[in-house]
Amino acid sequence: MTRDRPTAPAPTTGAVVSPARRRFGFALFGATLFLIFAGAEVKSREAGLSVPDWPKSYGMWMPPMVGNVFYEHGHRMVAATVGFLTLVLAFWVQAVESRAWVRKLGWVALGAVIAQGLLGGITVIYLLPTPVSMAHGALAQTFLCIVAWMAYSGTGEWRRVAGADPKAAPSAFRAGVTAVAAVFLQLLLGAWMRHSEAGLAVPFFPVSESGAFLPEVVDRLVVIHMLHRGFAVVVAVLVLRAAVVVARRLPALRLHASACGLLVLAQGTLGAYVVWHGKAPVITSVHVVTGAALLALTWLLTLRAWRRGATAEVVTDAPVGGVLERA
Amino acid sequence: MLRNSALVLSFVTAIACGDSLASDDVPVAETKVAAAAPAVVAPAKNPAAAPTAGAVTGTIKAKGDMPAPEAVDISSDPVCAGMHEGGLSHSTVRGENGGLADVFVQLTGVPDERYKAPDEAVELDQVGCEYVPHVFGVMKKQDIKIINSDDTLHNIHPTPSVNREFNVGMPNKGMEITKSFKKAEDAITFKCDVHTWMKAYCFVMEHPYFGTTDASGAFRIDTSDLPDGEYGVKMWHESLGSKEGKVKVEGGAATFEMTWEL
Repeated sequence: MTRDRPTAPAPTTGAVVSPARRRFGFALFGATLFLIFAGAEVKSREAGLSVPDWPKSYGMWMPPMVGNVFYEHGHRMVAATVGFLTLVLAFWVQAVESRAWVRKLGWVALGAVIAQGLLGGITVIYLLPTPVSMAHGALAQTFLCIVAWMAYSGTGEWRRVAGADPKAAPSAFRAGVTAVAAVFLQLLLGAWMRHSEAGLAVPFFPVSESGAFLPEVVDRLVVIHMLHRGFAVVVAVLVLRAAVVVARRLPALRLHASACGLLVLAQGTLGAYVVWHGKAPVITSVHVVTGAALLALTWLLTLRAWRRGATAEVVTDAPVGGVLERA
Repeated sequence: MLRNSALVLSFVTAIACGDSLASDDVPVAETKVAAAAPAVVAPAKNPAAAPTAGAVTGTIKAKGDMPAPEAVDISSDPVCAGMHEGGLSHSTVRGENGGLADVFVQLTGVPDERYKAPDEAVELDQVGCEYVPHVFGVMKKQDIKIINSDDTLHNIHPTPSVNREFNVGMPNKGMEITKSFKKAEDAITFKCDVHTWMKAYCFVMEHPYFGTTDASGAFRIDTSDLPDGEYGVKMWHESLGSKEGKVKVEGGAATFEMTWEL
């Protein structure tokens, strides 16, 4: 008895994801990036405990936006907006999306944003324990990647390029995955450093006035700081390598790959500026959100490479009330 | 000014009450009632001139130029800005007439007894978007009455090392809460995360022999029930650090003078 290997249907030329849903997906991506900046501002300005209660703020849904309440409650407001947009998108894809995995991804995104809100509440109520704050930061980045994936899966490119270059795509994909893993690990190290108050444990860059790489006393905070600083070099190498590999193997992605390379260099420069400016809040927050953007951009590059080696599938965004073509 | 005067008056009253309690007729064996806390009093004209009965008095002086206060940006809260129309300036090193304010002074080497915390609470007020007092002491398990006298919201958030941290919102003017710490601990930072310039420091003490210098650098520690002898004096300032000295208490009284190089 032979088992038939499932074959993917040929790309459809019929209905595709509607422009409205595509735009909505990218709007959610943009909103999430802004939410990460708003969250970074909370930490950069030490505003995390300026509102001691949760989910309300001083027992109100809308407290006076004074002092650091502006940053903490503002972050909650942006988060609520992103949560609502995610809810809309999750139900939208359930209603019209033909691909089961996209529908599942919609629920995963919704679950992630709910978990993220709960983590935010827990970290406030338990006075910012480092592991919870780190998990809050890490889930934010993961959520951004999920949203980016959903947005990309609704593009015309997703439908068009499936299986376009099965020979070149795998090596580009592998280089991308390595870079994404490195960036994500670096974001975790950054969150660890930030929430351990080790951001200025080494207050000079690259060396002190006397030419030393390390302070005279090397304590736990210096080690945490140097892990983030040292691993930045690894990240830069891996992202640049991925950019070169992808650009060579898949010339159509050259621009995207170049953007990843430039962004990793910009991110390293921003890291130096954070130290030189004594963790000035806006510079620090821009460093955080640039890290998130680098992760998302590298992740999208990896997905685009993968897609060129993947099999095609039916992509249908049926009108509400219409007949769904399930993949 | 009125509020400061009222605060000083309440402390003086507390000290007077403490004196009446601190007698040999303390009902619990080997338990002494603290005289009062914090032991901040109105500055005497020359507090070091002669020992005050039943108290260690003295002055901490500053030698050198006092740093100029630095302007604090309080524009993020219009209520705070409205209470300081000329702006708010801060310097951690401050004082008048050569005295050094906000030095916490405590005696060391006192009898190792079980001292009972006073029933009176120490008040910590949030007024004009600042903490009053800025540096204070309490005995362990002594109540701290935290008041919001401002028409804006504050959160009160001490960050102790050995005691339990808390963070409470005080959104309304006139709101009061009472808290205490169970373990002795030096210089617990109280902060308002809404208004990041607001900071106060609290010492949680095993015994009642402590005080804080006022604007003229003067302090008074009630020692009416302290046996005669030589004791250590430990001083702490938030930016100048710590210093130590000695004082000889005779008849329950002594004077202490110290000059801090800036």
